Amino acid sequence: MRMIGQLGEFCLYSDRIEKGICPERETLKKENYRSIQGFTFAYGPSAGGLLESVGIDLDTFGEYISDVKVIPYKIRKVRVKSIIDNSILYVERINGSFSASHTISFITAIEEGLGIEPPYEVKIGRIVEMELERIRNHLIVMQRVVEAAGFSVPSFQLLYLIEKVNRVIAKSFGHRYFYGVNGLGSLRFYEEIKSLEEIKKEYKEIYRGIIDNRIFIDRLQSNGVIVDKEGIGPVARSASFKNDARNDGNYAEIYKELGFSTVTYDEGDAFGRFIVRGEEVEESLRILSSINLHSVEYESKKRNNEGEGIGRVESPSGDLAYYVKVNENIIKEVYLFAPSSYNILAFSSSMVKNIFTDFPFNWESFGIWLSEVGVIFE
Amino acid sequence: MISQIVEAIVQVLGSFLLAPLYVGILDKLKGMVSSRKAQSVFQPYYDIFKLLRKETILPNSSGLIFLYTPYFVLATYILISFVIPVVYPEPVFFTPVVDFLGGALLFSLAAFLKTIEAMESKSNLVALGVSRVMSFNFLGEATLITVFFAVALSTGTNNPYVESHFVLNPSNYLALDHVLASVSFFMLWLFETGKLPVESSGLNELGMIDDSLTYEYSGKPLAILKWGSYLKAYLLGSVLLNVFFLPWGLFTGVLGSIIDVGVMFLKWLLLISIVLILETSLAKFRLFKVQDFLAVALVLSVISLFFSVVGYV
Amino acid sequence: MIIEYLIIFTLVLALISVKWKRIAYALLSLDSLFFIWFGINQFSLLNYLGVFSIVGGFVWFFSSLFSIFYDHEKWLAPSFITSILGMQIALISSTYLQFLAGYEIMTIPAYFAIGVNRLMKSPAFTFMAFGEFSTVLVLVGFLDAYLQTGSLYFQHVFTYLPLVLVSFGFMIKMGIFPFLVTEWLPIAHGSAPSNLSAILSASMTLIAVYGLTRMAILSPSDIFLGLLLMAIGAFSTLFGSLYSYVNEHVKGLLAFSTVENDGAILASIGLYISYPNHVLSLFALATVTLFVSAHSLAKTGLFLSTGLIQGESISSSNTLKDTFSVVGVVLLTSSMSGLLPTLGGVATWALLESLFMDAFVLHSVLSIIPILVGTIIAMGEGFATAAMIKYVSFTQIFKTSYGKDIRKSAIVLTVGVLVLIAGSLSIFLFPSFISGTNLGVPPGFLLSSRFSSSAFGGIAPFFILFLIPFFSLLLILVFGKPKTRTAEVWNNGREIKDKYTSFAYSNNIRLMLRKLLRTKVLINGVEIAEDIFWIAMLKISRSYIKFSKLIATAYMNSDLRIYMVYMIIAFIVVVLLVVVI
Repeated sequence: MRMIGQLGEFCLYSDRIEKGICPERETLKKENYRSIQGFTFAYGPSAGGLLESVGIDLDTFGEYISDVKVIPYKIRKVRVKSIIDNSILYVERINGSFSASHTISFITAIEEGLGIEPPYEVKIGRIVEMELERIRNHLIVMQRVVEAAGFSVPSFQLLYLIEKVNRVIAKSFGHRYFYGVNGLGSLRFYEEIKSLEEIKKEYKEIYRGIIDNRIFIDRLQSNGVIVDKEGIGPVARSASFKNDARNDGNYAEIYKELGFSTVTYDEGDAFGRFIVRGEEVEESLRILSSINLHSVEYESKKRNNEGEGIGRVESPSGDLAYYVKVNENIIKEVYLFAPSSYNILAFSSSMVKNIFTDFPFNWESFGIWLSEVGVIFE
Repeated sequence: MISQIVEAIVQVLGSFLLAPLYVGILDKLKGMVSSRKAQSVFQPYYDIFKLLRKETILPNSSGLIFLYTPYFVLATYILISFVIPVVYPEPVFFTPVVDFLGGALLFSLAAFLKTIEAMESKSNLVALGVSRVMSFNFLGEATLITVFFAVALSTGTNNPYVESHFVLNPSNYLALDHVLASVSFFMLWLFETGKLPVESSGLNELGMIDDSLTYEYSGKPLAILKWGSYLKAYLLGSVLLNVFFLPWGLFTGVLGSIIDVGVMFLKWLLLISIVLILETSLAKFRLFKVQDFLAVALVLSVISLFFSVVGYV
Repeated sequence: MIIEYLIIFTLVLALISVKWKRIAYALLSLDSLFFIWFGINQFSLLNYLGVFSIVGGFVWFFSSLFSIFYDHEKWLAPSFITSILGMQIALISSTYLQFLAGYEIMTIPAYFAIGVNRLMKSPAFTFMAFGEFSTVLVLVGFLDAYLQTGSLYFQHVFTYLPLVLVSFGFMIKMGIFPFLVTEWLPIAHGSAPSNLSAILSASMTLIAVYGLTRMAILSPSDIFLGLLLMAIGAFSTLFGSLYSYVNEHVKGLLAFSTVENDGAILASIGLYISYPNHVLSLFALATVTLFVSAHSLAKTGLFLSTGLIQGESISSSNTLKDTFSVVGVVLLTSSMSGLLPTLGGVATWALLESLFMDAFVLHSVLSIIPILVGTIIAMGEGFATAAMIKYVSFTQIFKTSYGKDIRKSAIVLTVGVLVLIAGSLSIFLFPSFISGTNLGVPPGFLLSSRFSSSAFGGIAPFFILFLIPFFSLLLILVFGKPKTRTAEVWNNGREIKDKYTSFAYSNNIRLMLRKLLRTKVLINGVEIAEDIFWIAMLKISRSYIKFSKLIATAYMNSDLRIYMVYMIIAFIVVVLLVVVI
């Protein structure tokens, strides 16, 4: 049993929800101070080193970071409280990079609410989607970290690999970001996933090359240490906690069947997160190689007409959960726990006492996507 | 006299006009190694000419220093190209204006002007980079000066031309003091020209060191500053080649000076291939590790100085 | 003879200034011009000491001119002029006693600045204690010289013992490592006004160097004393410039920069004393005078520029600025950073050149010392550049204007231009080292460094001064002027709320040199033991005070401060009597 985070008006735990505000995370607490010598250095929202619009206020007295505040600039309203089919289209687009995780979590919540039991094959299909998404996103994160180190050759090789994975996804599912793939009662799938073996081989080579570089490792080690027992995703796993929705989330049983094993590391720093991601790519590739997938159409037999449900899956950056209240065909209420909301907290707490040049490495190592943080459902 | 003026013109034009090409070649090769098609070797020229035609965006409340100092910076590098053996192996017209140490001080002058003009933009991001540049300055400047003196102490004259003749002799070339000074200067060159493992230019503002100096620039002054930094890389690199690594192969006379431009091209291909290996296989140091890198360079050059005076007692 | 009347004139001015200070300042600037003329006469007879009078004259001229627009405190004018009076007496002195009298008179305003202005107990005593210690050493040195020669007049002495004593005495006054306290204390803690700071920092050093050089010329050479002074000078340069770099006090930064320059000057005096050979020794002596000129002029200009700054901390101060002051301060700081073609650049070049020539001439294990000294000074120059860029950026360039004062900034600009042009003229301080070539630099323009008959290196500052603007103009002609459009400075798409501070600017070095600076990163800021030497000095002086307190209470049984004031006044009276006699 572990705490995951605030899900609307509930506090989400791995085995239950409780009404009310989650207890504060002690390990992520920062002392609040501002020195007389210091000032606030504004970074972002529009900066070359940031992928998304995010403002970062760095309190500093020169190079040394004494406090960090992350201000999302992507606040937007999403109209999901409508017909289920429409709302899925919106949820798909909340965060393109985590589109599969979002959609699957959302649909799972609806299914739970309406008492629908999707066939086994659909569940397998969803796992394939999420693992492919994980591979791509981990590669993106690794590429960003490697690029920050000016490590040009592996950086371009990773970009090439990302493109290859994207093409695999597009070929099998019809869209690079799984748009339109998942629906209540369907899973679109075109053709068998091929060329994963090749990707695996190339990836191994690139990964070894990166990990063997002493200077690169040095940049990541002891940078942004977070040891949070209640943490999620690679952040927790890099500090040797086996927190993973694949073990206790909605699809845990199937993962177990597939022989999934949790990757951990024991430092809790940016390097640990890098290693965890790096090895999870291999683990995901291994899982994928044991699956044969076909296109599935199934009838969604509703057992009840209204209800509420929670869907929780492991997105590439940690637990992602939706709470949905549904009535007939209409979504009444939606709450989202986005992994990035936790990761932003963890990042801000870990960045204190580091220096400015460590910032990009630490920031990228969390795999934060701002687009899923500033969402208001209506 | 007239032949020396012609040689000076060949040397200065040979440096000034070809400096961007070497950067272009390195970038092309780097792109190819990292499995890209890569841009044309003439890309630096295209960039410069594009920028020359563009208008300059002047940050409000910055003024004349911001706008006109870039010309002075480039002019300083042009002056340096007269005084050190970057193409032609003999002193040319205006070479006596400064000696080797004077050349080092002129490099410092250019760095000073670049910093001042950048600070006039009043941008926080520039100030961040400048504070980094300046914190390494004591090691950078000391290494530049000592390494130039390493030349002076082995020959008894602070004249790079004498040194480049001196090390033509293999026993002097392989002497420990010369080898140490060469390594030290090579490390310094990597630092001064922003090469890995010290620095790499990318998109990330928080990692900027030297890039911050041109951060607020656009249009013509940016083109001029870019050209200046290409020229600086060329000048220091050519000193590295002609005085330290490869003193051989240069011709004298007016015709010789023109051949020398071609010889320099070949020498540079060699230097570029060394840099290519470093740039494609190394990652960037942590900021405070740059200090250790430079400290090693400084210590090497000081040891080289010891050897050159004490070694031959 | 005229010069003695000039001294009396200065004395009269000091009295006039109590009532009519503007007139006194104006007349003082004329008086200073005479001193320049006196110095030129002296130098034309190949007496290097004349350079000190020329430089002193310029310093006083500019600072008294500046004072006409600046002075606002009552006690300032008399103490300012008294200080100059003391220096004038020291510069024209022919006996030890005259020199000492001048030396003490010039220090009075410093006591005043600390003791009267702020009434801070321990700094004043510390300063007094070291001032006295310095005087005692110099006095004993002179006494020994007197015993050797039997004459009170400056004459050749036979052993180097007087020189040793005098050196350490003057070193304390110059604020040499580890006696940094004597330099920055009156300026930083006493918060002396700008014009007085200029006098204290720029020309008190001048007089100490003058005394030291004069004794060095009259003493037999000694290689070990010379090497020792070089080493001490090198460390002063390094620490002075490092502390200057991390200092946040407008004048404290400049005061530490003076320590740095004093170190460099001491190193060249050391080189002169070590006497490697005749040619190099002569080159070193000329370097001393060149360095002193470069430092005194530029530092005067910089201290005067602090008159444009309101506030003491660099980060929070406001600046009056205009194009004049910006260009002026840029020129002055470039000279202080040792950049060609300014005066400071030529001086730095000459110093480094002479040190490495020394290493070559010695050609033995001893060479290691000049090599290390040269390397350390080169590192110091690196710090100094950083410190100067900090000063010019955060007081002029990076700051938005708060207003302007064209008269003051015109004076700052004038000194700046003087420093630039004097770089090209400075080669005349090396009359026997001027030559030329057939490669574009005609005879009379090339300053060639050498330790024997053949040249080691050389520069032609005038050609640098001419060629860089010439090429720049050429580039402007070729490329044309930029077309501009003004826009807000880019701040990641946000409005700038906080500006980068000067504290942050030097924080990298605080973090990088944690061990050396003993940086402690605390929860609400950074603390460095910038003052480790200060703490040590304080301890020493405390025990001295305890000792003198004992005597004071035993003899006078009254307040210690009154005792101190009494001592000063008594001392002035004695000194004046000596001068008149």
